[in-house]
Amino acid sequence: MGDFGRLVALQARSLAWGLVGRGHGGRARALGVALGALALSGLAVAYLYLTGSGLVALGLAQAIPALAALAGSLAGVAFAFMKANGTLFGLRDYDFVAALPVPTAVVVLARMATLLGSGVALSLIVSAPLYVAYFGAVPAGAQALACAVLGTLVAPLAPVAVASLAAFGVSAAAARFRHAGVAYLVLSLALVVAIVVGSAVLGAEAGDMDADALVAAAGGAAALLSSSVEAAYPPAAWLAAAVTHGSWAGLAAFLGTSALVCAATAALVTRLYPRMGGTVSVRGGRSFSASGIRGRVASPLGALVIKELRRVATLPTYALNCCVGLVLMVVLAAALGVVGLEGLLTSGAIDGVDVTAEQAAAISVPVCAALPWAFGFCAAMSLTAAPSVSLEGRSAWVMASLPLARRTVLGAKLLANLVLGGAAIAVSTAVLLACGRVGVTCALECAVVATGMLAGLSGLTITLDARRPNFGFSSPNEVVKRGFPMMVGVMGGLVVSFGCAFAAFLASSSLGQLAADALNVGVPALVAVAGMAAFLRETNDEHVYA
Amino acid sequence: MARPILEVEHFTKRYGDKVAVRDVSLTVEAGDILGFIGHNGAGKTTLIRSVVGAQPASGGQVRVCGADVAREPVAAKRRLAYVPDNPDVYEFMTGIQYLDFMADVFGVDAATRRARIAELAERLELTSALGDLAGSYSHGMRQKLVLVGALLHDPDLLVLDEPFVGLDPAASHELKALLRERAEAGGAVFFSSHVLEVVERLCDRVAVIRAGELVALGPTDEVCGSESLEDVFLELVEGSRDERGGR
Repeated sequence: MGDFGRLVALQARSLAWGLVGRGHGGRARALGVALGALALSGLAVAYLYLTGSGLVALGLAQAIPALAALAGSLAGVAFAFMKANGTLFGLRDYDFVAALPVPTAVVVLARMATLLGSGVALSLIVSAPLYVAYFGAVPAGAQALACAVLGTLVAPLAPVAVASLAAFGVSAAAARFRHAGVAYLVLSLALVVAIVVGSAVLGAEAGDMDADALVAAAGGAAALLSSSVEAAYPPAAWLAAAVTHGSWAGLAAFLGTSALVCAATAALVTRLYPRMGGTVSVRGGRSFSASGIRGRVASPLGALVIKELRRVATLPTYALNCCVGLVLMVVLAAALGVVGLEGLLTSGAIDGVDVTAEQAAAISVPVCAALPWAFGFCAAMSLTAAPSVSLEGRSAWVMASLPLARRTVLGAKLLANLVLGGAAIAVSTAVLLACGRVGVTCALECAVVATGMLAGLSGLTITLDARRPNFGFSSPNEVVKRGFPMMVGVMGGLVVSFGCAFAAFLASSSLGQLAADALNVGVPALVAVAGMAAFLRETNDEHVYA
Repeated sequence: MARPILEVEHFTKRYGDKVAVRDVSLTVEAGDILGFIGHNGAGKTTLIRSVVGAQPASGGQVRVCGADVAREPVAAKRRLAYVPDNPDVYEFMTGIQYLDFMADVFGVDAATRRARIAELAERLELTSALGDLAGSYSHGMRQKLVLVGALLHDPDLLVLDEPFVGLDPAASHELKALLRERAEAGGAVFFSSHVLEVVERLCDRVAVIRAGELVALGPTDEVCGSESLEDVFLELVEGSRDERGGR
């Protein structure tokens, strides 16, 4: 095995270590990760095959090759943009790798090979089902098939390479700003809100059309998209020409451009590489003098809560994964405040819900009974406490050596979660009450359900994390996205919220509003009591944090 | 006679079937600087982490100013400060935010913390970096930051694990002075180090641990006799190897 192979193998082991973790149960976790990846891939393949079949049904089969090339490329671009920081640059082991007696070009190629290989794998998952739909409808020869296979494998190479370089540029620029993390977080949350509101508005507009108009609009949009794709990303058009019309020139242009861009980017990264490790570690600072020591005093609990909130504000992956539910809660309250429940039902903004004003009026009471559980689910998605013990990571010695009771340390993490969630619940309830489009009882039940779910699940999940913390993570994503307490919180919240929403709907329809009210107050109270009991039991002695 | 500041009695620590430290007993009196030496994996950090309450003991007792670390951890920890071998601090805090956090936890009032931070940061040449995020600090700067944080509440017992690693010569010199001042002011210092020359010059007493067992403990000049600490240490280690080889 040459240097290149050894370096790629090193990264593969590192990836496996990050996914599977350490200690007992490694094989079970590996199996779980593999099954999860298979399930997600299966879902993506099924969805894209249906999308391709839909385009064929609309008579837009010819647009599929360009879309397949673009979709495959975009999947790789998204992956590379997220993973380049930590894979290609910003490495923990940068000094080790940089000191190896291996040419820089080999190190860079090995690092880029991981990203490019992942891009190709994603391109296969995304493009293959689209091509299956295409070739099922359009008779094609061996040349078209070969072009499609070649295109699927090559399409992501140039975009992934460029995305990796762009990711370095963004990280290097962000590192120069003192509050880059906060700015990144605010922009990302704004993007999430824009996507949610935008898709709801588009859904509402589509809901106003009849079926024929919808088909025509979809066809027009797809055709427009197809031509836009070809104009915006010419290599997709060249590959499409090769697949659909057997254009050798198109294929040559596509392959040549991909190879050239990829090689040029690799050469540029190789040239920049020695500077990359240092550049991204630069932090924007400010000059400090002894006069800047203000000596503001806070209580130990207050200091701990502030510390937790600082972590949320400065670690984008943490905030994005654990606070997006709070943003969605406020957005939902604002939507209800502006158009009311019946308005929301008839707008078509809720995907798959298409009811008339009469139907909406008829079901508004039971739907109103189920509504609080939408807020409950938003709260269940907002568990900053769930990974908070593990997130102490290599700094866990600080908490372990401080003169603080376990209950104080863990309580501060729980309190920070409740402060954030409580603010979102308070704002949402105030909006609902102020706008008056939803009944007072319903608005208060929304607050009760959200509070109960937040308190109960945050108490339960921090208990789980405190019992078996993962201080040895190599990336915060390991505990924020894939940690066991997070899984329990979000999946448990999903099951309880949907189950109770259904039960409240049924109770209101068949037993009366009082039964639904009892359920909407009783269940969250039970969840809260259970979560808090678990937390208090875990912290019922003076044991230290360790 | 005043009670020792640190009392370790028959301390044992097991990891599964492996005994990492076996039946260690030692004390550190007020005014003492006790150097704790041993080869890699001998059990130094294991004992230190239990002294500061970061991990439970498997047997025996550890008391700080009379407070049992296992039974009264909060009371014991109020009297001590810890500087670990890898001083990883919260990367999302600036240096001054970290120091304010430590002062808040230990209940240091505003005037005292202002004075102590200003003095200690100045002595360790850290003042100008206090506005930067700790994530951008070098190992040595983090070491200095943790040292300043450890001294803010004027601890009776200062526990340090390899404190000289990563420090520049000026900071290393200043740290030695700080440790002496702590001892002269009636505090106690317990630290591990592989820098035997520093231990020999700085410490009143020395403890040598080998394969989890204490093999020497006493005043530095008594342990060394006419030899250097390095020679004594090597004899102890070689003796252990010979014993193992002879078995």
